[in-house]
Amino acid sequence: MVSPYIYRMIRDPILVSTKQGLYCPDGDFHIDPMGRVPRALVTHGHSDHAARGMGAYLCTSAALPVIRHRLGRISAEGMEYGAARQIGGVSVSFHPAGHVPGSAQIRIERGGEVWVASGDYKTAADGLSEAFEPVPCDTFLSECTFGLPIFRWQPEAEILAQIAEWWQANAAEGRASVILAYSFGKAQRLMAGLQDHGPICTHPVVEGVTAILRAQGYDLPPTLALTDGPPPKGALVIASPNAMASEWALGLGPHVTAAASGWMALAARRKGTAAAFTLSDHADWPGLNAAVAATGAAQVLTMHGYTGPFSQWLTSQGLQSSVIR
Amino acid sequence: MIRFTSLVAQGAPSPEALATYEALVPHAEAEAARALLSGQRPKRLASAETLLAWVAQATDTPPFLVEACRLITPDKAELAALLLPQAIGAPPSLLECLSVLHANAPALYLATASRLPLSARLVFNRLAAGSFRTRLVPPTQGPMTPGTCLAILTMIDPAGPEATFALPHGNGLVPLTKLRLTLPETPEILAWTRAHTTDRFGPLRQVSPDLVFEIAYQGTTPNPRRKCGLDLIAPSLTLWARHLTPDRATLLSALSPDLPLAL
Repeated sequence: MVSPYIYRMIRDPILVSTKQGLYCPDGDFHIDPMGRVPRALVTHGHSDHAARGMGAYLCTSAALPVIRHRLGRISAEGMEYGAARQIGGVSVSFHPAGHVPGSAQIRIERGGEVWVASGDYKTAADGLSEAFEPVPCDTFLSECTFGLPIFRWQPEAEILAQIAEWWQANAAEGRASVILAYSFGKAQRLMAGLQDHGPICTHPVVEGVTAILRAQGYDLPPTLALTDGPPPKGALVIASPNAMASEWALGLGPHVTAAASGWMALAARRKGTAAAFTLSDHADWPGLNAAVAATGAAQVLTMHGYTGPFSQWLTSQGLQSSVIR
Repeated sequence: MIRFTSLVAQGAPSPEALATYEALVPHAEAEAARALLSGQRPKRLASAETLLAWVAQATDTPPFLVEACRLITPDKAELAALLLPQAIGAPPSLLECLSVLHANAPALYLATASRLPLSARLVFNRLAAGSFRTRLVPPTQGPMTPGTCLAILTMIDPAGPEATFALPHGNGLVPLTKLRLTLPETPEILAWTRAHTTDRFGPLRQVSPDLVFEIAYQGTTPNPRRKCGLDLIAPSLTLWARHLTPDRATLLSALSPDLPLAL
């Protein structure tokens, strides 16, 4: 038996799924749209959330510089975390998601009813991104990239120690260590966590994003942009996976490559890499469940990733849940 | 158990790695490790399916979630290792793990597996399920026959860079081994592969089978689970035979004479 309150949440939703992405009819805006729309609220600067072609962008002030860097000339505005703004018939605010610097969950309130769109999030603090804050709500739209119980992350400090050990072993053998990571977020998290172990070089794309975050005041160590030629002896090079398929990789000299991603938890994904470290910017299974519980939401809508199993699991735990398609 | 896992992480451990390991562990443990590395199978505790059932029950994982996980982790020993929470408590030794295999007590298996980090837990599960395998460089199997072969470059992963080499067999090419490109001509080889890519599979590039390389190895060991029927022991890339055409490559039958021509 569905309660009248949940019935309203289902019959008159604050957010609906459209071809362009999540849409709020009462505020006439989209969240992280992929198709062109007049007004986009954007959770963070990754390209699968901040796409080109929107009439106007609204995001956190912390996310804005990277979004401008990636999208060029756009009409965009930043809001501080926690500040509320009325847009049409709803009140909107951004809250830390802990995914990458500047990333946010978006809280939407209409007549006392609260929905929260999580964007991408990570519940464990990484010392660089603004730490995830659970936002009490009636309906939580949760990503579930790693929404299966096989995904359980080791503490970040242990993974960083493993990377440092691998790096030092390579340096002792006279080889550079190349670690492949997203150019925004993971790359900076690695350099911040590994700065005490030796010189760190970056691919120019990584350096571009790093310089912007450094200028914003994020605590990032000095790095050397590697344009051509080999890195200094014993250096760690941080590059995106794409970079290794470019001419740039030819200048690296003797080196060993490793991947750093949550997907490295799976043996099949580790095949073909010389070394692999399970380090993710997304919540793991315990993190997803803790986040859902902390919101107190009666309804959880799942999106991105293992949506079906995660939704079925939440239903089995007594929540109202369905998949956003 | 963690040291043993590190030892077997790269496949066949070198004699140096084995000596280092043996210096660090008690004599009885070194003997047990040698026995495992020489192919001796410990007593099987249970099938991987049973281990998975024990873990699913202990972690209250409902069947629909086990099935969803199975779609991306079909290896049941790996899935059983992944479903347990992060390791808690002092990790057990190899000998302690082996003793658990004789106890036939699910609770003891679960308690022991729960104390192991993921990589060691996976090795433990393989031992428990009787599916542990390792490419040992065995003194007990008599002298090996080192040799070289001429193989054809067929695939490249620029992220290594790592290349797949194949040998002619029948009317086609059969993958022989994957090796990191460590030759001084690597930049030139990578540039060539970019211009001669015939297909892409994620980061992998299939290239036209034109370049010939010499691969040296310490020996070969039969492996019926591989299409080429064998594993090379300690293979290394020695030179780019740029003057040779693919028709000069070594025939697979020279290394694996018993392999049927039609695969």
